[in-house]
Amino acid sequence: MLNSILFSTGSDNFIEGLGIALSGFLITFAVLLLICFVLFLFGKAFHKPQVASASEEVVKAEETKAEEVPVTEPVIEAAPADDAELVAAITAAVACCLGRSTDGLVVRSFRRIGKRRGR
Amino acid sequence: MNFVAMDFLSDLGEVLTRFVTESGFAAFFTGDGWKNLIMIAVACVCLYLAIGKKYEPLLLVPISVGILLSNLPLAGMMNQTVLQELPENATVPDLYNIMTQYANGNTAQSDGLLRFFYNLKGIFPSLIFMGVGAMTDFGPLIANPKSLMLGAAAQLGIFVAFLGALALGWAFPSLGFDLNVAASIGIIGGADGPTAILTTTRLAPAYLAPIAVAAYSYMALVPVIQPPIMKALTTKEERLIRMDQLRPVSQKEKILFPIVVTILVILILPDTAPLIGMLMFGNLLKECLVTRQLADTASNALMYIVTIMLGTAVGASAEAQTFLTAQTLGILLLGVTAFAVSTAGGVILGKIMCKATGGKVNPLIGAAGVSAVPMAARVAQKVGSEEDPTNFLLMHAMGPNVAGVIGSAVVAGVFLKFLGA
Repeated sequence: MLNSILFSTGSDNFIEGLGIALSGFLITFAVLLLICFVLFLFGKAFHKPQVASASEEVVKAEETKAEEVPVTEPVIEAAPADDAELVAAITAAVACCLGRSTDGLVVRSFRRIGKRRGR
Repeated sequence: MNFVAMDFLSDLGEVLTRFVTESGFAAFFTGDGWKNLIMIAVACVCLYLAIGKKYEPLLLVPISVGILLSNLPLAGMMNQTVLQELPENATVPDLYNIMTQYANGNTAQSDGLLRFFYNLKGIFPSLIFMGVGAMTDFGPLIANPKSLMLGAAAQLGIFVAFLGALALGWAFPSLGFDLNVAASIGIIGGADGPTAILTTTRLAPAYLAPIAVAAYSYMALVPVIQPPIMKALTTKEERLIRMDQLRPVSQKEKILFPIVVTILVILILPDTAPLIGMLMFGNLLKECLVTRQLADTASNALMYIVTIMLGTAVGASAEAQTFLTAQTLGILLLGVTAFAVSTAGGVILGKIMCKATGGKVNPLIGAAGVSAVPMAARVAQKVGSEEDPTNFLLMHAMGPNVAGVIGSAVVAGVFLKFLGA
């Protein structure tokens, strides 16, 4: 061991380093791949998209409350092209009101209920 | 009377001369004192960047103040304990006497204030990881496990810089870049300050100052270093790709994740325990929802206390005599190379995943695989929104970003396993 420290040269170090780098990169990928596999199993075990979660019901309840406000105009369905941005904004707003993260909140539908002059 | 006045003036002159010659100002002009002046200028520039330009102020202000304090001559903030001088022909009782005096606190020189902070450097990275865990939401990663691969690819720079340092050490043996130093330099590419500090503390403690300063400086410069590389490696069409909304993640998954990762990773690489163990512990405090006070302490008060102590300790270790060397220049060059290659590695795997999924992955999120959380994810969002302001990549980029934290900790574990004592 002492000899290898005292007499090792740059080339020895480089060759040994090459082995460490290659095996290190492979090990890193393997470990993260393993975690990736575990997370896929999590998805299979815990994620059931067809079942509405309690949090979705909260969103629906919020929508119901909103619908109780007197509406003096016909409800307009939002244009599909703007959906992604609007859904993100609504999800963030609901999460903010509820004081929690956006995980578990899914906006299934929304309708405009603003005043006529807004159009 | 005149003699008394002359004596008085002579004494006064002597006192004043002594006062001036023993001041810090005089020390600048003796020996290597001029190097301290350069380091003070560096500290002032860093303070300007932190306060004026707001580059990572929470880190850069303590680091800059540490550099400043340790380079003010004669202040002794980083002094190390020096025992009483051993007499010539010392006998065993003499040695015993000196050790007794040391035990009673009688030494020729005591530790400076910042030396006490510096001596705790071994535990700071783990405490910071606990705080990071308590602040991190692994939801985007759990929702999109493929992000982990981007986090792994973005560690490429670590290994390239590691080999680069070895090549430099081969070409210029006087630099003294052996395997341990090269690993510590390479880890800068992980864009993770605590990981770099822990690895360097274990493998090459003499290089802690330049490596820590390089790691934190480049982390602050992520918004400058990454965008040109991201744009050069992607087409406009790729940058415009919108990704599907992430699936919801249940609380059960969020609680199980840190437990499972702790067990799996530490069983595979026991050397990662100080980092992965504490990262996941902090995250469990947050996600289990029954330890809110602990999570709050870990992610706020404790985190800031440790940041102050670690920042000043790292800064203080940048003393002119050890910092202004050719090695530091090499470390800074290799550090920026590591950052650039890591960014490129993430983006290139992002492109491969983009092709493999038929255009469902925006390659820009690969750049977030370097673990500077959350800045690298913000950069991905910013570069994406430059092409399309309505494209929200932030949450998608957070997956690779937190995967990068795990990835760099795993690489550190690999280095410690292969090269540690």
